[in-house]
Amino acid sequence: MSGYKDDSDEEMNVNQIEKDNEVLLDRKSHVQMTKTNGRLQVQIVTPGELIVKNASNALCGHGTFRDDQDQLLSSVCGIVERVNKLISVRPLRARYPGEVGDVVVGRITEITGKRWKVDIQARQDAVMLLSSVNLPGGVQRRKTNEDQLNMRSVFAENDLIVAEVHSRPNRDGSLQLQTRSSRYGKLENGVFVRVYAALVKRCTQHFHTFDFGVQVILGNNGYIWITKKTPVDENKQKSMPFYTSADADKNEAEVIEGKDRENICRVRNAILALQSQFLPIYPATILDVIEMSKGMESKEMTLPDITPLITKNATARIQKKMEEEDMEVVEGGY
Amino acid sequence: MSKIEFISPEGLRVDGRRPQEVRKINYRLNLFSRADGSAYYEQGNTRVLAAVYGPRQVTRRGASKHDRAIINCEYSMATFSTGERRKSAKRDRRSTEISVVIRQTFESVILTHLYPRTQIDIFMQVLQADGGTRCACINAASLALIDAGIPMRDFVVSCAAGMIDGVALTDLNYIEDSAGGPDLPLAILPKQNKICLLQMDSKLTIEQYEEVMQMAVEGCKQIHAVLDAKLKDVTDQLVNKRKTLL
Repeated sequence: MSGYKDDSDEEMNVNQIEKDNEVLLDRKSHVQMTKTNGRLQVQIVTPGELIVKNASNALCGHGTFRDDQDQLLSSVCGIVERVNKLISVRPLRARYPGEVGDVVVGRITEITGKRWKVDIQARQDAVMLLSSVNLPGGVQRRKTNEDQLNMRSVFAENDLIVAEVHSRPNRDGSLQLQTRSSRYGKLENGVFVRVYAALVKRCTQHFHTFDFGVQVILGNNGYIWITKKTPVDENKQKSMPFYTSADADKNEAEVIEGKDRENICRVRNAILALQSQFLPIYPATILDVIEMSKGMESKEMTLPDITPLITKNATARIQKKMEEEDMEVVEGGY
Repeated sequence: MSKIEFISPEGLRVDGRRPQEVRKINYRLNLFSRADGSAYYEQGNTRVLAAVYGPRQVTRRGASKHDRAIINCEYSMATFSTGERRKSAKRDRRSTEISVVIRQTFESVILTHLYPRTQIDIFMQVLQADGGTRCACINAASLALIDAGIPMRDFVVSCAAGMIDGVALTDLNYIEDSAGGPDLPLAILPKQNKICLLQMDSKLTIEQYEEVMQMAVEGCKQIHAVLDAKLKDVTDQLVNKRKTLL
């Protein structure tokens, strides 16, 4: 407990929680909880609610603000999180905030000058500079004026792409993307799904291939791409890092048939079923849902009375994980 | 010649409420999959929908502000919302005025400086009008904004009050509204005890005004208690279902 808590923390006092309600803090998730009648409950606040009365020592995080009487108030409806003196409130659903290094799926909305504008479900369209893409053929050189005129042949409007968040160029929250890797580029012949960004769990790998031959790209921004697994062609990998719009004209749209089509649908519906139950989306939970939906047709999976049944295993997995992660709770009174 | 009796000898109103009682409130969040936040709100027989989009890329270039988000509001009434079906749902004077009033209300409450160069769109539609539609729309929009996770200074709630036969009444319904007495829509920041919208276009004595104003504030507080309790309940259910928070 010591080392985690700062001495100055003692000076802050909690108003909302009555004396017999203990304030606790989960070390791992930094979520603040209250213990009422021996039951642990996540502390939920609504906009304008008082979190800390004398906040001269507290740091004002996301979802909070300080009023003229030096009180720390919540500005959104969500759960209270605390890391030492930094107090923030996480809303359950919000737009994708963006973080450098995240894998995102996006759609090109506009081409202006030397840049593409990309919709990634964030607060503003992200920008991707001509200099931060690999040219078709994988040649490394300075981009010329001619390249600038041919931008549309790399990515045209309404193309779906997978990219990485490169940086935050301004302080206004805009994001810059890059596709300088063979993993990134244009997406074709697959299914696009949109979910809440908060539900996509951060994993070490956001490109995942299932055993039954389906590949998913779980964009951190809540955009998900599902496609048939493509056999890795070493030669092609080297010469052509990714598909571009120019290739699309040459390569006819690939026809995905029978079993593959069915599997892609199943993955899509599994993701939507997880979203409808507000469960985190990552390969393990998707597999749980697919496993439970074995006996039914994939079209049944999104029916409102079916989703609670097929997400049972996924729910159990998450609850179990929570128990394993021994909820070490420390006293969190300020 | 019979006049409608707005207050019965027992002190009850046309729909059986007491003067300081608001109508039954019910709401649901997150109805539309494409909107960032949405709410369906009913207060007695007044039913409204609100949808919030954003903060998102500004659609009209040049309108964007470098230091804050811009807010657009649109209030409309469905053709079938009133007793007599209206020909078209085109924007009329009244709905334009209400749109502006609601926009101003939220401009003062949303922390727009956090999201420069973006826009927030709020669409509200009245499905069934039974008095107090602008207040119901403010409440619905407030819920939809919270559903979208947009930061606000406080939980805005709104309620109207009026006076008939010298008796101050809160949350007027259509029959009471069309009695011709004064009508005072009010929106407050309940936790900070501040007023962010107050309208009145009739004459009242100071004493009567105080009384009506008090009624409206009381109505707002009742509504806030109901909305806040249910919101916490709904959020708690989602969090508990998840058992984990990322």
